[in-house]
Amino acid sequence: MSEWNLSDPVDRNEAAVEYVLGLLSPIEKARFEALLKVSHEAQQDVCDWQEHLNVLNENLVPEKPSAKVWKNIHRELKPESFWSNLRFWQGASASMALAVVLSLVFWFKGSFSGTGMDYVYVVQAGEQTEWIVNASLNKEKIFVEAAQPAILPEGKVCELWLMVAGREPVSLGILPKMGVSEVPIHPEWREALKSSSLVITLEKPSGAPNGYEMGPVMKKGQWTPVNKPSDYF
Amino acid sequence: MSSDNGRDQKLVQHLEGCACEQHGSLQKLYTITSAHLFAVSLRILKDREQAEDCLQTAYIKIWKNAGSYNIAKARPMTWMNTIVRNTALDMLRRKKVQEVSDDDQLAQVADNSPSHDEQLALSRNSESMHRCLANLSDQQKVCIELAYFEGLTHQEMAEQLEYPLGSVKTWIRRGLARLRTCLSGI
Repeated sequence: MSEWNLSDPVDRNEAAVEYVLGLLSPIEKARFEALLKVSHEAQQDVCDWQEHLNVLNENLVPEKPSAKVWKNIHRELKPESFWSNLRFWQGASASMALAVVLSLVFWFKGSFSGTGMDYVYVVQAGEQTEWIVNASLNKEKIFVEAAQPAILPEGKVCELWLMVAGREPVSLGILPKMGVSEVPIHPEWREALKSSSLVITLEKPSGAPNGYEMGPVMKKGQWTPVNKPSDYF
Repeated sequence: MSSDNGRDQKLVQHLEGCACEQHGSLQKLYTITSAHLFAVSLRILKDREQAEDCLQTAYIKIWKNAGSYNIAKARPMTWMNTIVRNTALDMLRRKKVQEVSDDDQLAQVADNSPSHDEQLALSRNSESMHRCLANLSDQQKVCIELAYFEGLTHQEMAEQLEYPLGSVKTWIRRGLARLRTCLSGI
């Protein structure tokens, strides 16, 4: 290749196919790769030859790999690993959770003075509070407040669901990145609210299309009754 | 042709889904392509367990690099096959596996035709390449396949085939020249 003039289209094309086939010596390869960094034509030659030689791959008889391959891929890439890495869903102990809930009752009074919250669901990452979900039967609303939300993968959001027995899961909306969002309590599931569990799923920004096609479940939880603030103050 | 177009289009959509970290897209991509990609991995490594390790690594690379896929440069299967081939050849070099090829007989499989206008030329090239490869001598074809699937250098090919180095270089040079002439003449 040292004899080749890489500014010549024929020589460059000859180098490109030998590059794709892996036939260049280390020195030749380094020289051609230096050209590749700056030459669109050389890049196109390589692309063309990769496409031409792909015929060799297409001629192979397809062979099914064993099921463990997909299992391993799924295990390595599944969304849960992200949460695990962030220790996002590693819950505190029951006593810690209860202590947090009780302490939050005081905090609620400051944030939503006189609202009379009835049920609360605290989303935690270890000792860090991510979101606080308050259901006020008095106000007929559910308040979802961002405390210190986790950083989500780009293009992903968390959606909150109320798992009402015997009907399609009810979306309580996308968990806010900041501030408070409000969801009206519908009469159809008002009575079932306190006995319904909560689920958080990972979704694209538009959310799940419906309650039967939700994304991967990230967290499950239950309401904690906090009675009335007057019980505590 | 239309079903092949549809297949390429689906693959591109799934790659776009992977770029957006949609795990469902990766699963669909795997369902459609894993048998084809595994065939490439197995052809190069000739060891089922190693080939499965390679396949696993390759899909993780596909997932992580899906955002850099460019439809104008390569058909989706070409892009994925290149990732598998490079991964397998890297493993082959690292493990210094030097088994003699079983010379698997080539078999016809469904052709992947493009789904976009931009890729029509690539498809024509693919069909042309089939015809041009058929024009090569057995020696030329064997040498090109040894380089492509075994990652052998000229010297290693000469040793494996027990032919002089000069002959091997000549076969490859003339074979590639013949391919170039054939492809440019179509």
